Amino acid sequence: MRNIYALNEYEVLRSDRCDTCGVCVKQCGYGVHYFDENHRLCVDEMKCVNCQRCVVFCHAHALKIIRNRNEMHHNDYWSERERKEIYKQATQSGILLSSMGSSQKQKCYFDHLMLNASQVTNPSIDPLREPMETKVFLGKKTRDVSRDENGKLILKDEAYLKLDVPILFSAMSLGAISYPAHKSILEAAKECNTYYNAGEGGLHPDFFKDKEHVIVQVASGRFGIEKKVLDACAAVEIKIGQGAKPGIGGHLPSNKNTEIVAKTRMIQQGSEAISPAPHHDIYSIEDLHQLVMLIKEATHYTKPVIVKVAAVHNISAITSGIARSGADIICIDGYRGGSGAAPTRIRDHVGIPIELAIASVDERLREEGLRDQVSLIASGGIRNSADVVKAIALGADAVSIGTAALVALGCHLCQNCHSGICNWGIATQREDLCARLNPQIGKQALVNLIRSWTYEIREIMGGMGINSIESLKGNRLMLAAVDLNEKECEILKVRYAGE
Amino acid sequence: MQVSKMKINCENLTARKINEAIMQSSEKIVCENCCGQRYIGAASSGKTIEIEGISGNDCGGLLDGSTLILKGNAQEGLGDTMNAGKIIVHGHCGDICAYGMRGGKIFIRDYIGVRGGIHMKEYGDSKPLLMIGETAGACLGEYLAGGTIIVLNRRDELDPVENVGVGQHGGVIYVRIASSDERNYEDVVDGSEIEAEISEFCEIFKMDKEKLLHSKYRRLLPETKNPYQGYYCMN
Amino acid sequence: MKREGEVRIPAGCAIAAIFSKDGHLVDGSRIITMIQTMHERSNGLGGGFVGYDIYPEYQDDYAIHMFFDDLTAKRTFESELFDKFKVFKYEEIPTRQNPGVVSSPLIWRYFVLPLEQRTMKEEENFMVATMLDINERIEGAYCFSMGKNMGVFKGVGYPEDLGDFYMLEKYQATCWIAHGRYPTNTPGWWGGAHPFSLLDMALVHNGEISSYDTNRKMLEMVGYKCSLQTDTEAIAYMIDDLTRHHGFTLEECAHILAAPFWSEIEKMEDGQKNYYTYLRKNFADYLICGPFSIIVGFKDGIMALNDRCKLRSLVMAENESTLYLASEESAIRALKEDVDKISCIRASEAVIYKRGEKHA
Repeated sequence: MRNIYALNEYEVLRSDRCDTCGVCVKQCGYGVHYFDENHRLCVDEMKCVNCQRCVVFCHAHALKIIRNRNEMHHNDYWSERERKEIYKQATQSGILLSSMGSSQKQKCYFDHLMLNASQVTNPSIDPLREPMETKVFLGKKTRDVSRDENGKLILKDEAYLKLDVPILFSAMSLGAISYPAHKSILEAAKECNTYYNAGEGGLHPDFFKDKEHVIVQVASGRFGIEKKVLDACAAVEIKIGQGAKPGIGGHLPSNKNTEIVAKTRMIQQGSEAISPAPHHDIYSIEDLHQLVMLIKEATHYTKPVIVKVAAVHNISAITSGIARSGADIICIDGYRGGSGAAPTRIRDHVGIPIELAIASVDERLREEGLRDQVSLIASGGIRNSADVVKAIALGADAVSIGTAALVALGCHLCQNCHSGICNWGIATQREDLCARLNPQIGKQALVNLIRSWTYEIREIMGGMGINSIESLKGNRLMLAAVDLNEKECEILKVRYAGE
Repeated sequence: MQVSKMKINCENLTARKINEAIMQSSEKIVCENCCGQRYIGAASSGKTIEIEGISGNDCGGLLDGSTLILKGNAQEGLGDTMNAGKIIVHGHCGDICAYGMRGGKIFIRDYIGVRGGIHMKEYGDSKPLLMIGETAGACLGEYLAGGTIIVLNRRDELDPVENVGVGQHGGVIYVRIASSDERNYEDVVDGSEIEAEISEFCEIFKMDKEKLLHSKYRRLLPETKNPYQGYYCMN
Repeated sequence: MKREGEVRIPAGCAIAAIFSKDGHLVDGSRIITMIQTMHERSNGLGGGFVGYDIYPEYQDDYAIHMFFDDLTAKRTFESELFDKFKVFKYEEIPTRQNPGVVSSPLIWRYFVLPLEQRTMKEEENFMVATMLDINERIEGAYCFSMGKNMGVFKGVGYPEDLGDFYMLEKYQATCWIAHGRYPTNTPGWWGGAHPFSLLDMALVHNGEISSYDTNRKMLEMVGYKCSLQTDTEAIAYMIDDLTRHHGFTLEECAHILAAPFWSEIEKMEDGQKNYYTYLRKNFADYLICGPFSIIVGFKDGIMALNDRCKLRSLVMAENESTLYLASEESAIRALKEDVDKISCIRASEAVIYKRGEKHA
């Protein structure tokens, strides 16, 4: 039944500067703005998701979108949100579906960690004058040194990834986001010498030629995975879980399974693309080993295998199992990680913060002597360069960014990706909307972002007197805690500020 | 002219060594004394590989066009994420065969374990076929998105499958109905629809196809391409 | 106040060395002269020396140098030592009164060999494990030197005062290395002074490294325990791990600790490029960031190394018979020796001498 209790979430305010040019009508894929039969410009506020497209495109600056000022009876426990969600389920029935990462107000540990800088006892380094290295290798380290009969070192190496910056792009499938968004990210990855992750929807044939910068994902649905795709990448990622929905599979609704998506996933157009919750060939850790080794056999041991897991309660034991499975890189996705669609309750309540996960995983892998056998990628809510530095100081080798990259492409975080309508041309497969994202401009925005963050990382490192990012890895002396309790400091292995 | 077969003695060889030897061998290969080595023929194309002994898990994983002939039984993960080619098993097969299979054919003479043919899918001309001589364990064809699964039920069992086709949203499953089974099934066809498949199967295993052709089969088609519509509520 | 091991204490320093290339012996007064010249670089809170080939009559025995807070610690230590080792000689290390050196612990030395026969490698591992275990376990006992035919002499005070206290003029060595410490704070614990020594390796270091925690965590993963929390200890363990466990030469070791920048590596020809890339990729957490100059002594050899940016001063000079190293040229000039050439050691440059051959 129709949600008879539904209220408009937003008010769309139009000032008298409006010259009724109609740009807002053209720009809004939701049909909020429309001309009535008398050619009067009208608003259907019920449809507005506050994506800000019309506001940004209004040349007269006549539009403003604000939260509905109407107040329900105040109750701190039964918040408006709680009540509205009940209305939805009572009328429409079903699992509540949301998009992007958790929007809940929960403690962010990054914000409680302060960074260090050199004063007197050792010098800070000026990145404008001295080399400042942000190059990172991801993969197993070869620690058993061997020599030929002349005593010369044998330079044998495991397969690895080489990045100029400690930032990769997170896995987002073609389906969850659009072709031009994929194209923008791949082109930016090439320019910044890092990696684009095709996500679980397979790799579009257009991108096969850029294999040096591509990571493909083997997820439970096995979409678009075959030998030629495995040959067209630099690394293969086995997706076990993602931060936004640990333990949950994925359902790409049929309306998003367009021709281009079907081609990439190698499935019939218009059918639902279902990724089961688990890999049905992985019911135990030794089965993961089996899949890791199958991929290695299929790629003749030339590519590192990444295993991506969501940060959950037992994450340190899980990662130590993964490290022993033959995987070269482990990506840990915190609960703030984004998603094109995730059950609201799962998104907001399952998993643990990435900061605590990385700290405990790094510690555990070291205790077990496995830390040099795997590299760690931290993801899930990395917002800026300071977060990157903190994640690395907590023990990550690199981070990956998804939401931040989409924001750079114009995403305004209306968190309505599951609707399939994205006025910014990102989380949509509608051709008219996709056409709004120019991959050239998108690429440049991402390159600018990565470049800016890299400059900032170099400044922060310089201040610490560190000129190689490898010397920042797990360097928790560079972090100090504020407003954290003893237990939190113990898990993060960080001293309190002033201690 | 008969191309001579290259022999690989698998005794004491690792999976990696066997696959390296296969890569360097001529088109026709016999792997002798195989005992549990995994990933044989993984992602390979253009080879015909006979396997004597017991092949290990993930045999023919990501197979890309080769033909594998298993003289013994198969273990778990046969033809995992297989793309093209053919796998023939002269015996039975363990769990999770044909997982995520997108093309090619798998013929199992006897029965298979649980979770066979999960999430098989098709695109364009690429349509996978999983054909089982006897019975299948639970969860056969779960989330089936494309391709064909046929259970021949040669021993005429009353319930040759259980819990079949859950979440099916594409493809088709045929299950031969035992002659003693008098239950009413919704969609019943005879073997003519799958005559080509039955013929190929019987040719491989030297069986009489007439009885199978003239039997009744339950046919399972997806009720909808979108089985989970209505499961969600937009928030 | 917390001592080294309970708290991390940054320190600046002076370092100096005399290395006899032809094996002639030099008495300890010479190295005291050098380190005294750089008096301003220390603040009286620590100093020390190491001499090689100083115990010719016990050259095949491990010379264990011990600090004891009290007699109980000494008795506990000795009862364990006599259980596991054949002790050829033990005595109090001779000292003389010096007004600059106060509240010294009991200082003893023992010339020993393990009772149980082992391969060389196993015996070395046994020695390191036993002595580190004693330091951790026996309250008030601290082993600060354990090599063969060599010995560390260190304490709290200015280095020249400590040299006088230990009567170093009475020792003849083929190699002397000295250290004057300028810690930001110290509880005045003798064990915290430098050199830091492990088997026959002894290391002095000037500077504060910013990669400490990264290096430490890697070391602890492979089994070391950084109980002093000092840079010197971490660097010594890294050199020990790289040379003894991974079999790297000192030169390769230097290429890991002070690796060239990527911008330099990219300009190299392929062979060199692959070599440095291999080392940097696989041993990244052995890289030392931040300012350091180190001098490492070992049997029949010496190595000096500067950081990648040349953030600390280090000067070398040599003549036919001798190599001199010091934080400042004045320390070398003060010896009034004729030297053929005198030069500043460049960033990442490893100066390595083995008796009879030059490697650098």
